[in-house]
Amino acid sequence: MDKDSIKNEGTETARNISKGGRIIIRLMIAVFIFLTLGTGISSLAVKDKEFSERENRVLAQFPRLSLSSVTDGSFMEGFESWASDQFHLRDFAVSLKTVFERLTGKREENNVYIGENGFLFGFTPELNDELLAEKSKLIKAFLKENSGKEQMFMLIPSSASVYSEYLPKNVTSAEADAALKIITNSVKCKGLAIPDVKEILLTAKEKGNQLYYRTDHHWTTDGAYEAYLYTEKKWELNESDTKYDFYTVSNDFEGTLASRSGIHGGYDTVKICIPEKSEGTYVVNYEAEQRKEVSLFNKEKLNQKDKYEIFLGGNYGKISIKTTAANGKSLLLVKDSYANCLIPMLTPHFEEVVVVDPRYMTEPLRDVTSEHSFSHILFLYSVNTFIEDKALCDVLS
Amino acid sequence: MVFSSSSFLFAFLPVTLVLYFLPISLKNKKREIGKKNLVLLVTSLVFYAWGEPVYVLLMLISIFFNFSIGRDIFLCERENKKRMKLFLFTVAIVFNFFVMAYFKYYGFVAENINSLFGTDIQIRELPLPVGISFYTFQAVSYIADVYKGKVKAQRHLIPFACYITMFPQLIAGPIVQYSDIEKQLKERTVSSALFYEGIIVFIRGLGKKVIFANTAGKIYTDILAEGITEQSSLTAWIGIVAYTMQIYFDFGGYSDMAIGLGKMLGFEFRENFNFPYRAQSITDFWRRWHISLSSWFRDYVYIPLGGNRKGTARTIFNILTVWSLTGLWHGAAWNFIVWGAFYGILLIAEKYLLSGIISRLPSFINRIITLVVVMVGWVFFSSESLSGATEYLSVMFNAGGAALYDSKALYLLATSGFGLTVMALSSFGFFDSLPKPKNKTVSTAAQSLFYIAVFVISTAFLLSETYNPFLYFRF
Repeated sequence: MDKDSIKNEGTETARNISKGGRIIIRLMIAVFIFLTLGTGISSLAVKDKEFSERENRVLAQFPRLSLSSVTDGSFMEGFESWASDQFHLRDFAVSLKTVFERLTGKREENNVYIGENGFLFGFTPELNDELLAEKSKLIKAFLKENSGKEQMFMLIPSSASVYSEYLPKNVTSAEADAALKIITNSVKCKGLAIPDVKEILLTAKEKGNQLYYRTDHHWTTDGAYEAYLYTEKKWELNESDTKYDFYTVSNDFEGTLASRSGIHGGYDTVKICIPEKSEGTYVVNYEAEQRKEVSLFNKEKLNQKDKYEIFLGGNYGKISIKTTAANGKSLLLVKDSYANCLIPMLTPHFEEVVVVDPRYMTEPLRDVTSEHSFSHILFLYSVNTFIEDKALCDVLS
Repeated sequence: MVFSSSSFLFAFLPVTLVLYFLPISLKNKKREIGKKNLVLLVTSLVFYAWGEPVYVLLMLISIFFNFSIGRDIFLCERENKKRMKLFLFTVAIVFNFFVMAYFKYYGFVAENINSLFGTDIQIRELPLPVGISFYTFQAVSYIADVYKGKVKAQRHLIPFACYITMFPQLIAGPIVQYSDIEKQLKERTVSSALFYEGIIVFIRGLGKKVIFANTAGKIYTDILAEGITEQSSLTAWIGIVAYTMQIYFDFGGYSDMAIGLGKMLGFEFRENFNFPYRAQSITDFWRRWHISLSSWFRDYVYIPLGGNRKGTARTIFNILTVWSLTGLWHGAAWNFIVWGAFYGILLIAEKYLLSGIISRLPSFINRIITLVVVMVGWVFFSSESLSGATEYLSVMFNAGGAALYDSKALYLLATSGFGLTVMALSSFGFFDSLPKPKNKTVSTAAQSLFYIAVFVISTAFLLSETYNPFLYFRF
């Protein structure tokens, strides 16, 4: 075959080359061999990492070689995972990709919007009409059985609704706002207070406090405090005029949105809010775990990646908190993790608070209400969990 | 195994190259090439078995079968046994297509028979052996060329097995015709200049696939995931532009990688793409798109059917047959057949009705028209069903009362517009037409640096695909 007749798309033919060109060609070949072979050998030589802090998961290890693992293909699959998981500079590679993509104009990674001012925003999940109807029906029925008690349904908007000005251009909070409205309308019933948390937070924003984390999907302690102030006023809780102190406990919190998007370098401040004279006056009972604590904070969690877990140590099915308030009030709180940083503010006003997270509890909610006689019932959910969560239906039916 | 994976780039490829270039005998050229072929065969089988540990047996059977029947056909030719020769040829063709059809079209045929006649043939979902569409076509080209006396039958099993299994083109083409490569199997020279060229072409293909195609593909699938009927016309257009880029750079990228790997190993394959989106007519487009497939169909279907030498009616029939088959080759589903027939009809129209008009219009108008037609074709190609395709087209051409544009479209334009523009310019060959430094050394150096960067960024992209944070994502 006539070799010169074959020329590929846009290839510069490298034949008939100068001396300098020849040296460069040799160099390029060397670089290519180094990049491929060198990387391969060093991946083999360096000890495998077991855990990725950034991805918060166990990394694939070198697969076992055997006849059966080869014929059924599991060795090959294992090798593929090993080769990408144990690649050196893996974290660097991910960062390089996100930087490159941002340079080309991209404003989202892995279902996270990259906003202005360091803000990351999770996408709003799609509403499932059937699930919502079912859930609202069950909630309303439950509340009706418990009529005569103070009842509140608090739906926390996602950060996109409150900080919509930091969303990427041409992205609106319409979807998140619509979800808020639809859910609020669907749970509406007699005797149930439904505060407009979005409005509360929008007003409070003017004061200049940061109400949501930039790198995490949660609201901050300052955001929760605004919701607390509303609740306290509405339910006339603060008879003893308790004061609250705020402490900064961490300045290097990198939340879930940072992990998911691979956008690193932004850090959030975690504060805790402690009512005065509350130290040592609580007994916090983690019921399924059969463990009792005297504090609502787990400071050890500050040493790990997810520092939001300082509040109650994370999510547990059922926690009952006994206090020395002796005022005859008790609260049932049905919640997701957004409540965790709010609980320390509410607690001093009740003799007992029972915190239920339906996602981790199998006991029917009616068993809980029949064991205790609550004076107050609070449902507290973030809009995104409320959209997706099915566990609430399970404990209510 | 795919080329765009870390196990290929950092394990398979370097190990293969080391074994391939490890000298055993520099003096004896024949032995040297024998050893190279052996290494190539063994590594190719490993490459194939990597993803298809069982189907590698199927491929081995196909190799033995075609090798021996090819020899027999050749011997019949020499001994002038015409009927026996024809018989063997028929057996070979039927066998090759039967195996391919069994895996590829069984479910499709059974489904259609069931719905036509109300029968209840069980549909077994056999996983499709990777590359079967490609290696079957290569085997058939060999058998046909031997039959026609265009080439001699290969006397040695290893070079023949190399031809069928050669890992660079095994799973996604280009479809190499035996006559193109016959000599190279016996003797080929590897030089540092050719190896360098191979690296450049390979990395370019890798970048096309990993940086361009995957990015464009994500744009398209995201739009589709939200339901096309919810979208504005502008979004639908952005989606199909993204798909147009994805399919070209995906396939073109694979072809480049194959051609580049071939060069590293001393092989020269024909080009498979020649800036197809610069085509001035549909006829022109198919001379530039997946060239090895169109030439295969031309050489082994269209011309044997009589081509254009048997009158207009027969020519039209031949064109429609070839293009329905081309469509069907791309996948066992009706939308592929419609897509193929769509091109068949367009080609007939261009041949008999439109050629006068096309030659009078300015070339840039022809280019735009061709590109839009091709994009409409991709709507059929990419949709899972015919109704999906018509839905997409009605949003695109604003027939169903969709908004012309919305904030989502503007967001897509702002965040992906730059990337898609760069891809489009690249597909038109804009960057290749830029002036290059006069000094050859400088230009080689610049090219090398550029492609090292492309390699690094491609690696970052393909590692990011496995970036999979496990989030304690419980609100």
